[in-house]
Amino acid sequence: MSDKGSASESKAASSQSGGFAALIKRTAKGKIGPEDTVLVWPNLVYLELISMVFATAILLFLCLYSPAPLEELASADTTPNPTKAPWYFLGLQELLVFFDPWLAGVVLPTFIIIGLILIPYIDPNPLGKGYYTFSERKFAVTGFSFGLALWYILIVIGVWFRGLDWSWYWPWDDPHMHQPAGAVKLVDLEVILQSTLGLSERPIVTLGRYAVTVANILTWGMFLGYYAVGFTIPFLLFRKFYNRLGFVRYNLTMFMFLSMMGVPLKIFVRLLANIKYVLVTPWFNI
Amino acid sequence: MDALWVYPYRLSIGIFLVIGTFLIMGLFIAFAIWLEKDFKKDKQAK
Repeated sequence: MSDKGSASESKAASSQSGGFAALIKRTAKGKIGPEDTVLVWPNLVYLELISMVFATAILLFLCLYSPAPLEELASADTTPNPTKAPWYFLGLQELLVFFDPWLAGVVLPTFIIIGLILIPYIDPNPLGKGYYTFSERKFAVTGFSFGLALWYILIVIGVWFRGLDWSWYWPWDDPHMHQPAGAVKLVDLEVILQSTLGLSERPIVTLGRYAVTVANILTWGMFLGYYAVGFTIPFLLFRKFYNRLGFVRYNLTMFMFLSMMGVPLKIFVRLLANIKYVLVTPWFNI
Repeated sequence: MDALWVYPYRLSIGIFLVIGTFLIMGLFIAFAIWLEKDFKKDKQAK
């Protein structure tokens, strides 16, 4: 009975692995083994070797056709303008425009890596394992695609839309002309609150280097409020989602999700409201 | 670049960012839907 079960399981698995498994079986030398299997060597390894040779050849021709944009030897006297990272790091470099370096260069990449590692542990939903589905995992696929798309668009901006002085260049702008210095003056949110609400700049309490003002406490409230509202709304509206995940998994998922959504939100706040930092502390700025 | 010009200019960057993100996301989701359909068709053929 168990043999029969495992045979049907392996058959299901082989049908799920798609075209490559079928190709291996079609080209297999020797007979097909038990449970619809073939040997790894030579059947699989041979195909992998051929694929590798083809991939190398394609890359070689691509390199000949479009060589790597290497510049002259580095010199301490001349710094290239703009200095761009390799394309796969340009998303990170673009984040530096909108965020504190510690946040853009350390915290956000760490969140991305930890978040990706956590996915298998915080996702108890068995749907979509071993087969392709969108209809059964709409939130998961959409959420993941959003994060990935955000990363890609930052890379696209860094590669094609940034020029001299890291200014924004549309394709119709002359890439050799410096963009005029912007008239925008970026201001921290607490300064805006102080001036609009007429709050005192005098600290109400001093914690070491940290002089806490009323406006500062308000910005802490807004920052923590974003997470509090974000944690509460799905809890109230989608109780089944919460129950399925449980307390720890729900909080981890929502923290990662809200942090991801906070990135474009902060970029927008900076672009449209000219706010430099939402929250300012002596150690980090957000 | 005077102050009046700055706002629509920065707004256009923001709009580009949003539209670009959703376009790329749409591509990924369209690919996921296509994979799902193709997978179902493949299963039915067997």
